[in-house]
Amino acid sequence: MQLKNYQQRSLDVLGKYFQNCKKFGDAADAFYFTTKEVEGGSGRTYIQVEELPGLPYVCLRVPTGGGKTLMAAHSVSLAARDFLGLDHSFVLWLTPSTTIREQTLNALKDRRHPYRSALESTLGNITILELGEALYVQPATLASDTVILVSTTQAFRVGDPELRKVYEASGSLMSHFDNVPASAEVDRYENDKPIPSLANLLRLHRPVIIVDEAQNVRSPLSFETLARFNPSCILEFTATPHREDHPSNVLYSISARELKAESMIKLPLRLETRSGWKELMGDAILKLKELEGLAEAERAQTGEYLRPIMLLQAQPLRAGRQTVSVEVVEACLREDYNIPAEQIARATGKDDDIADVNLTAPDCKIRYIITVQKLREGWDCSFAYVLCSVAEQSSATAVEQIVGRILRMPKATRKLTPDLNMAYAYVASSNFIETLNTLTDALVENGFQKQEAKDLVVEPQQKGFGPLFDYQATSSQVLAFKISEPSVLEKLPEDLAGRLRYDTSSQTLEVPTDITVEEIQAIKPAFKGKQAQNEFAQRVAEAQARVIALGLTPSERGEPFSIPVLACRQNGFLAQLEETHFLGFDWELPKQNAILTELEFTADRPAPQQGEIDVTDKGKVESQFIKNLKDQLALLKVDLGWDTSNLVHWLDRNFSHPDLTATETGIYLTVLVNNLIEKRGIPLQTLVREKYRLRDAIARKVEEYRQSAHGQAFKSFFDATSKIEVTPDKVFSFGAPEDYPAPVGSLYRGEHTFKKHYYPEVGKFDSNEEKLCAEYIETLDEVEVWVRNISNQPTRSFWFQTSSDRFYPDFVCKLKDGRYLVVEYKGKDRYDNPEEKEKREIGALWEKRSNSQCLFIMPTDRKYDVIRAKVKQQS
Amino acid sequence: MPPRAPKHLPLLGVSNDTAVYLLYNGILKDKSVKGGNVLTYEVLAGLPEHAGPKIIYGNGSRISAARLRELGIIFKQIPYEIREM
Repeated sequence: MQLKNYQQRSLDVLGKYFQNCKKFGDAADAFYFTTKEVEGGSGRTYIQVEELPGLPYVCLRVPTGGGKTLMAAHSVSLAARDFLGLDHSFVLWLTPSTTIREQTLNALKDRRHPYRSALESTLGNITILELGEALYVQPATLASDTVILVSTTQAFRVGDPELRKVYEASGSLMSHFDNVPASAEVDRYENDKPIPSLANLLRLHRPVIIVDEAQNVRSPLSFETLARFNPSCILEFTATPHREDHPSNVLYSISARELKAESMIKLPLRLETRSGWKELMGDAILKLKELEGLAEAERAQTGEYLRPIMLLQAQPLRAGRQTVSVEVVEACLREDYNIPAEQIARATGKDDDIADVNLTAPDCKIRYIITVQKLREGWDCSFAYVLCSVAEQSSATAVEQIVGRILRMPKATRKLTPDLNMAYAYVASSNFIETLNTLTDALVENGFQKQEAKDLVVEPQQKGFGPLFDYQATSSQVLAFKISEPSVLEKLPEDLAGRLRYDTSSQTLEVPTDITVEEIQAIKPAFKGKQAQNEFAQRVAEAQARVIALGLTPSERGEPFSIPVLACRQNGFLAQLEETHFLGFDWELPKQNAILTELEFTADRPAPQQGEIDVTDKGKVESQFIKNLKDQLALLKVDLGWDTSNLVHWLDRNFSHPDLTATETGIYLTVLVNNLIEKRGIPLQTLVREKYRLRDAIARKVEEYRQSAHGQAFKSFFDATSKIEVTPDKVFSFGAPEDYPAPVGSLYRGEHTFKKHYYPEVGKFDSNEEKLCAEYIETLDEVEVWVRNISNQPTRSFWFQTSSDRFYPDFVCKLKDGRYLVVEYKGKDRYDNPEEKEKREIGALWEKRSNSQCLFIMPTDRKYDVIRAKVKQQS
Repeated sequence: MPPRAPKHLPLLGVSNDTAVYLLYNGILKDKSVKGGNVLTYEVLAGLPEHAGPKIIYGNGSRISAARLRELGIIFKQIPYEIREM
């Protein structure tokens, strides 16, 4: 299973963090420098875990549906290999409940499951254990396999009965404790002999702790308990990072937009509310049947089987009161709406009809699932498209539990029919606004940003508007007013009254902003006194002005935006200039002088770089953590008795080099290792012991050669004779609004006044200067439309290939005269760096080959006028 | 895995919409320098067509990782990525 872009990016950031941990020898410095590099601003502060000062405790924030468990599986090798430098590590994998524990165990033990494949492809031999099995694990297994112990966070809380097993001496674990050094931090008997317990075994091996957390299940980690196992690091994967007690250090956040852009979730969420629950159900059923029809049409076109399912949330039974209970709902479905019994299932504490049913099977008939509080934890079915909640919402949490279940996109692929790419919520309520807020909050609980969530719940289409006007719905607002003369409402014409909502108990009137002047006049008398009446009229007018100003952006109107790229014609193929064009050039690893200098690799482990120097005692303890970790792990290393060819074999397999064949690297590595032994006098044993560092040094060296070869290939493209072209034959086209992968921190509609931006959202700026640059572009007369180009999105953003990487310029603009302008703002401090110089050269090349159609400029030092000067220049 | 295709075809078979290819010397009928077991655009163009995702086994790849991802190709380098079943 290939990782999605945003998953790969998050893991890359995690990998970078681990590299930095090695580099700086300190978890806090590593966090600071990693966040600084990735976010481009000032780095963020790391919050230590009190019980474990110096321990790397980081979090990747992944909204519901983002595939965090798959990411967690990939992260194990990052921790083991990039941080600990171990072939085989001991992992403690914590789940939020026993249900999810079972699910995870089953998945990880199943050799065909993607989670298992992820582990195997990155780690080699794996052994998966639950607590009971862990009491019998053998030393040989720990020496040859990565061992993953799957348990619940609850089991590791003080007072849990399972925990006792962990601390008890166990005869079957005795063989692990034959050679424990005196310095090891383990529980011991009075005679100093180590207790053969699972706890001690964990301690010896400095486990990697993975916390796979579900939304709505906030089981606080017991750091006190976990600390006793001497973990080497704790990695958290969650939609809702902790903020108060032991706050999470969020290394990287993924936005809902990015998930949507990769078709992982169904968004937007269409919300409809009604007071009468039976009518509400009728609406929901209509929608479901409509979706069924669309699904069949979809199947005819793509072959994909899809049976939309409705989740119905009933009210719990209450003594002495009639409620809209599961029975009542089911009766309504069968009697009032003639739904056959075989299509209905209950999923409650009492009757679980869906327990072992494969809902996605083509022969399954279930279309309606009735539940009360929440579905069984971990239950998920991407076929769930419609949520119908008949329980009148006075407490908001009920909907929260369920809304996450209708978000996942079947097969994580976009459907051809747009209606099948969204989810639908029908909620019994007389207060749309309140329900809207509840739903927004529910989305926040599922890991979405608050501002994002507001934008992702839309009202149903207004009559007379076609699908293009979906976004119009979010921009119309509803205003709430307290009125004093409710009797006026009864005299209003029927169709106006139908669009208003009035709550008798709070005397609040909700008015949509798209009402006419006459309608405003008609409502005015509901307010007492001229001042109140005028205020009302004014507020509506203001809101309307804002709505008109927002209007629809060019992307929403379906206007295309395509821009020619820098392309290369090689062997008759015209393709965007890309790394492949460098790789096509032959280059070889030098076999003659294959060696690593003292600078590139030292036999003795080097002291880590100094990051921030923390002088306090606490600081000293923190900065010792990683060093102590390495020392202790070194004690664990077993003498492998390798010869040169074993080492070469291991090195060859452990760094990635798809552009070099095994034969080439095999020869190079053999020569290199022999040279290290003979010419630099480093004993083979030392090389074997330091094989991870050696591997890193070799990987760096090979990358140097590669970059050098790329650099030469790159230079050749600037020759006048090179086959570089910039023509309308090879363009990049910006996608639909839902494809714009706005990251966390972007500006949403209503938050900005960029009228010429192609998309309703504007991707976040990395600095204030960049924002000023955007404002300059916006006000430039010649600019017709522009895009805040998002980095690291190869299929959704415009980019150039540099000699080492892809470069995503900040702004891409189309001018009124048909030319294109690309702007990359660079701060004064970095403007003269070689990488930035190279970017200017590429931009200039692109400009040159475009026959005056394309312009590139890199302003700096707040001097934005260069942009205007560029635009004004004629060829 | 579907039954083995005749020896001279690079397409081993299609399973669950994914086509699996094995590159070997001689695919390009000895016209290329490396013989054809390294993946390049030319070699790719010479493979039997398939609309869905592809897995290609070869000795090396000179198409970048990014481009492979965009093309829906998973490249597995021999001998590293052959796992015992």
